Amino acid sequence: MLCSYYYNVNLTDTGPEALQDVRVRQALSMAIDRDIIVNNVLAGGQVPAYTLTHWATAGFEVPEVAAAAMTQEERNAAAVALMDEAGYGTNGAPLSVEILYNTSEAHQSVAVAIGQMWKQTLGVDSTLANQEWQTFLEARGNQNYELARAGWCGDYNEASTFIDIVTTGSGYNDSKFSNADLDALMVEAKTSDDPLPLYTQAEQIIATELPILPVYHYASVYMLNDAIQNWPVNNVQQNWYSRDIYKIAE
Amino acid sequence: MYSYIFRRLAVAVPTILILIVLSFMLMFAAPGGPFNSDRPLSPTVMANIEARYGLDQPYWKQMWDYTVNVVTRFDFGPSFQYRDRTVNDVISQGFPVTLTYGFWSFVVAVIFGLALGIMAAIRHNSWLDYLAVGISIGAQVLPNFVMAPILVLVFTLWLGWLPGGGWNGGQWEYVILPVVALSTSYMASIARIMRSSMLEVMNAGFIRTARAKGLPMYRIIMRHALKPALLPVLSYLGPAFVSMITGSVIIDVYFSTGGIGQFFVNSAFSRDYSVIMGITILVGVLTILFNLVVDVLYAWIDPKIRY
Repeated sequence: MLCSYYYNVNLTDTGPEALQDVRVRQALSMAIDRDIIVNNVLAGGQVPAYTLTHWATAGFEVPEVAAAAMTQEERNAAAVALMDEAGYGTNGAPLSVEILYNTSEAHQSVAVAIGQMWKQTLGVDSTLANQEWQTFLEARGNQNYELARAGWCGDYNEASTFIDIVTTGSGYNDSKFSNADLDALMVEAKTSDDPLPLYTQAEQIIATELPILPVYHYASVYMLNDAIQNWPVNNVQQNWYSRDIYKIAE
Repeated sequence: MYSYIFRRLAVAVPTILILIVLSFMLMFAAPGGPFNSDRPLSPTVMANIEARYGLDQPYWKQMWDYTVNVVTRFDFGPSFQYRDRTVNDVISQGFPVTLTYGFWSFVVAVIFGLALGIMAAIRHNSWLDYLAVGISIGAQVLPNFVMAPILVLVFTLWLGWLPGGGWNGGQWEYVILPVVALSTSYMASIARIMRSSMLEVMNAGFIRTARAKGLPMYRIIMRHALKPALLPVLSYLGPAFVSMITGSVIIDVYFSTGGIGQFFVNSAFSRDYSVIMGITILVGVLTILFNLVVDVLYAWIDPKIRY
């Protein structure tokens, strides 16, 4: 499924001051052990995410994100270093964040896991808050949160469907992120002959500035009878044509 | 008696109006709206939608328009969630289903509950009494969201006798399991109330006279003891009937019957204001009506009660 799961960061004045510092955001993102979440908490074949755009989006070239290539120990060490530099965490001012999510067992497990990781690695306390869906939408839409769980599914199989949501003035920009370079890239991409490198550059900005903390990219889980062959597995838009599929006779 | 009924109906009208006002206030107090979604609409589109559904008007005006529509034309408005249907469509689709299985649950619960309660009272402190009390406590404690899957497991998966869900126009095979699942806890309560009130009546003086006169037990019960013993049960039965025929969301979800219980809960989550109001008014009217029926039955059963 062409969807990403991430945590929106409230970058407006109503959000916590600590999260306005990009180093804090980077530290928080690096301290998340996405492999544990994907393999142990979710166990559904999901892929860890370091970008907003789904890895399988047509033509999209995932940018080189430094954190993606490190081991978790290296990431944790880098995260601690960044936190110290910013002046929070175990060696600085105490930091407490609130993770808001809509009521669901799955979101709760992920939030609990992430909260624990932050506590153990960075000494950051987290409180979990859950709200019923409509109430949650109001809170997130009015920037009445610190960190809010979010997911975004692509409307079409191209990277702009993801990157557009963090452009300035987008109605879906719940973080209220505003970056002039990203906006310029996206404007250029609309009329450019080859927008793909521009998307990769834009994602590079997202991965550095982290208006959202990416967690994982969705995968759909299903049971398939062994006799059915040629089922489209890497099928991000979930379109399948029965003419392509066949069944092995018993 | 008729003036009493008339007076009660006259009081019912302001009661329903107060119900409408209070429900409106509570409904609008909840954050969120019917058109909020994960992908927020642009402000112009949102303004257009709100204008079309009248949500941009002040609350009192919305309440007034709604009440006038309901009272004069029985028009409960369009559903905000099911864009192609009105609330009247939703209710007329779901209510007959719920009414069917609710009514049969009521019949089953009353018959078995009364029988169990009477037997337990007559054979007080015998194994039958303990069995009946045990069954009724067990049935009351076992919630219907546990009963429903167990019933489906036993009767559909293991024995294959009954379908596991669906409604199919109300054929009897599809009605049985919802009825059993819904009626058990009510049957338990009826049995316990009946048992205790029957015990009280059986110890009364006039029963002792009847027994001394040599009347057979069944005649004592049916002709003399039953009516007085029924009074406490009746006051339970009024609200119980209403809650059975306005359905249970658990039964609707487990057995996929398509009844209004499910619509009611889903409309609360999706802030479908008109469906919420429509079903609230329906439940309110039914409650008032059946409380009146219960009070009239009191007077029929107990001649000492005069209104």
